[in-house]
Amino acid sequence: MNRKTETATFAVAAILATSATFIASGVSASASRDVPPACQLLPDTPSAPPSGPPEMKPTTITTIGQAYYCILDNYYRGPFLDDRSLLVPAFAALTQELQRRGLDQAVATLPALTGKNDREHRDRNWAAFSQVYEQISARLPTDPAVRQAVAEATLRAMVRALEESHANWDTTGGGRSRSATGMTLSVSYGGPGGLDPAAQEPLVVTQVEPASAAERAGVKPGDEIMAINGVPPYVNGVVSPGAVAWITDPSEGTPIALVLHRPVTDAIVTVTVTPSGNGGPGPGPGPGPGGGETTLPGPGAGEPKLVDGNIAYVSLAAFTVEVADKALRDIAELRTRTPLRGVILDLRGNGGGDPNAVAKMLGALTHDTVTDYFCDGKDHCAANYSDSSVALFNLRFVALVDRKCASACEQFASAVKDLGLGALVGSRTAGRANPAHSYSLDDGTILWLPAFYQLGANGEIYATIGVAADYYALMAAADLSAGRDPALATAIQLFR
Amino acid sequence: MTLKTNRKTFVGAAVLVASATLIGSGVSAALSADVPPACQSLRDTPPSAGGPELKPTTITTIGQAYYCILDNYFRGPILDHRSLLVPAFAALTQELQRRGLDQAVATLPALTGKNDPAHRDRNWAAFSQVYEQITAGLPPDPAVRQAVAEATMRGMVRSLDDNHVNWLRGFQFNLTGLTLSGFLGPMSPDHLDPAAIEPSFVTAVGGPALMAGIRLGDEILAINGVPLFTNKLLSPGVLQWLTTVATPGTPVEVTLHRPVTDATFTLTLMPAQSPPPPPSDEFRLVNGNLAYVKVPSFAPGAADRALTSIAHLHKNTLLRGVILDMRGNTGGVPDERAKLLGAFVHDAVTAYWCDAKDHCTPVRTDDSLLFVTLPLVVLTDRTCASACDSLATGVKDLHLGALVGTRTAGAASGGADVYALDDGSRLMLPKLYEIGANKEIINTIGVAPDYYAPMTAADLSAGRDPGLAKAIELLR
Repeated sequence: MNRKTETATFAVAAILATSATFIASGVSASASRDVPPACQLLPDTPSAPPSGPPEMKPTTITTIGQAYYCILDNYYRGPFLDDRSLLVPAFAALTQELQRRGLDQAVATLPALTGKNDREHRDRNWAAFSQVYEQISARLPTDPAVRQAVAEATLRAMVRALEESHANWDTTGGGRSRSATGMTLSVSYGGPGGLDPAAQEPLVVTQVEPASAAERAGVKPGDEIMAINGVPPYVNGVVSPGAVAWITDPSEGTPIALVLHRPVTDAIVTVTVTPSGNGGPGPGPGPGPGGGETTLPGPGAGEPKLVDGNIAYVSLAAFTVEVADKALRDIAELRTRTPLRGVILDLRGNGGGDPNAVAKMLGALTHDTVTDYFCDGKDHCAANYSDSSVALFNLRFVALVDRKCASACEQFASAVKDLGLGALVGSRTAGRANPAHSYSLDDGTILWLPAFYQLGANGEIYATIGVAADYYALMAAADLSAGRDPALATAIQLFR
Repeated sequence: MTLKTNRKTFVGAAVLVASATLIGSGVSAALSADVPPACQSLRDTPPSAGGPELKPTTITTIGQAYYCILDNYFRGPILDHRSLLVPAFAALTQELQRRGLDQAVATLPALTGKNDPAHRDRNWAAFSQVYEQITAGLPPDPAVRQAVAEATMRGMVRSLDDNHVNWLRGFQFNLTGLTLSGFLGPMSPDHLDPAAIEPSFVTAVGGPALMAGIRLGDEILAINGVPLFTNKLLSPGVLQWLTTVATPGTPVEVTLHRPVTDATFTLTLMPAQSPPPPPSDEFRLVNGNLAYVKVPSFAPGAADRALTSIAHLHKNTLLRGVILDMRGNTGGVPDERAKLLGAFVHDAVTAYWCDAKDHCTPVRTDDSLLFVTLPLVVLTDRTCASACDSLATGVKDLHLGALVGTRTAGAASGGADVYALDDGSRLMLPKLYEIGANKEIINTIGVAPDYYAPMTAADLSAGRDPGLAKAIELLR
């Protein structure tokens, strides 16, 4: 989004904040005490990188209330949400956490809630919910860890109830680094714990980060994981989430024993990976513009180069304006070497980023064209346009895509597909759409909420579905292991 | 995006709507042909033995489910159709991808958000057209086509996220005779109790499991050598060895820990078809003069049997109290619940049934049977579900007695009606949703006991019953 849009966004937020304050003062004395201070919109890109992890405070009923009002005020479906659809899942999760800890209480009963979708009922339902919450928490053991776990379970369930890939509650404060193995798996999908419902057996290592714990242990791309700490990751064709979690959500310094099958040599290899504490800043489970999930380049990624003589190949690891500008410069530079037959843009592993960078890249393919839409809860849709200030390629175009092309990457892919700007080669994209803004809560945590939902140029929804490739060229474990790239080969074929 | 872009906002939207209309009118001739025959309510049809013959699930079946939900489910009138079609289509593409059969044309068409019959039909026509394009590109193998249709159907049905919405096709026999803790309903990952912690232990045992030597309270550590839980998460594929992939004659190795002896050992279980143990009503005197009555379900006649049992015990003994054991009661006919509550309070509102617009009708007690004026304790647990959840709510909200045990299941969306689809499958949908006597929602939450007395694996293994012990103490 450009600066003007951001200004508009802030303006809207300011009005909302004001009206929240106004309403709060309008309701009864008891209710006004219960309305928590509003969440604060954070800029898309922090003006300065955080000097360290922000100070985290305990999550309280006030924090949960901030999230409740933040969703109703800022999430695109907020104006139409039945507040019960937030409070009931939150309360159910609260009771489940109490039960798991053997701390369930006779008073842990949801009060009667009213269904009217207006300010007064929102406040009344919130007052009723918070009253019971405080009754429950008064009876909890004094252990702060227990109280924190109960509060987190409650708040997390409220956010999960939205069932949006970009609605997330980041409890790391956005700054804490996490431990990592440095490998990406075929089932990896979004943040830790996310499993791609479209993935199937076997579990394959799709990428290994240079100088990572996995690389040091000798893990190679294309390796099929037969067992993790002695447990098979798939049984009866179904993934075992707890076994995969040893890799995707590792603990620093705790070794992981892997039994691997390496297709290229047909060897069974046993390795031990010891996760390091430096997985880089937590990518955030579902950032919107300005924060993709990608930390690793795509499988075929490399320096800009000419392939098949005179086709420009450039990979794009993320959609930032800087990266897009560099890709455009790289293509221009390749063009100075030889007349080009076409351009291949490798978007595999591109976890998204800034819609402005999408507009820029699309500007090289088409001018003054509606490329897609951002819509609000009332289905009022704003058209996005390609950036006409970018020089057109006027060349045949292929984008390489895969399941790890997410968010802004899919916005780009859907435009290429719908507008016939080129061919998509590889596999379907992730289906992780709907750009989010981030809001700070009083405990130092960050809440991500989609401000719009997205439609492709043809008016189609691709959130949860993904964008279908035009030409399927699946990267099998054997291909990865042998260093083959069927998608690139298919792309080159298309230019012949 | 620029400010200029924003000004074009509504133009863009208008263009979308206009083109949608154009497309809509383009298919209108074919449209009426696309509306599938309505699902058939089985409300007045007695259940037939053996069930109907199953035919392939087709786009017509999926369309029947779409309209059936919009017409009969309590949220139907306020549902955005897109909230059904998008999850259905996402599930379809996921099934294609798992099979390496994804297609370039497998793209959702533009759908409109208006919630009226014309848009319902138009969205359905657009969806079914793409579906047929996709199936035309599938291999002819009927198993693949069936799997794709089932995935689409389940994607739609699951998106309602309602414990009383179910699509039933065929019947899964319990070939092991085992019932394990940690599930709200059948033993499937879909019914995993989010409140449960590992290990999962045996809460009922019969047939092949009993023959293999498995006993109540045994904790299931591993199946065929693979742990059932890893990092506190259930491994669904491991569970399948006891459920969907269990085959008569194929042995299953089960590794157990038996709390009462603290022994860990592995047994071989041979899956086989065996009749489920008949649900047995059980009644007796405990602690001399307390009536203990087990109500295993709310099948027709259950209330009458329970009250007759109390009357029978009362004949020879001056009773001081009644203990109703509702543990394991997964519900049944709401009328039975009303009759049983009617024995402890007359002319009372025990719950409300509400429509999507929150218009609620009170549910009253049925006062036709015996009136019991004795102190009451009701034993509950996480498998007290549906009509049993409702009974527990009534007892708690109306102060008819004490609830002892653990929180009920909270599988209490609302009583479901059954509808027949053209492939012989059944769709279960609640017409109304239920709230408690205090107008509180119990669905997904359950009813909290007044006295917490969980049945642990160690208790079951040693034959102890902390819930019953607490009940006796309360009535002393």
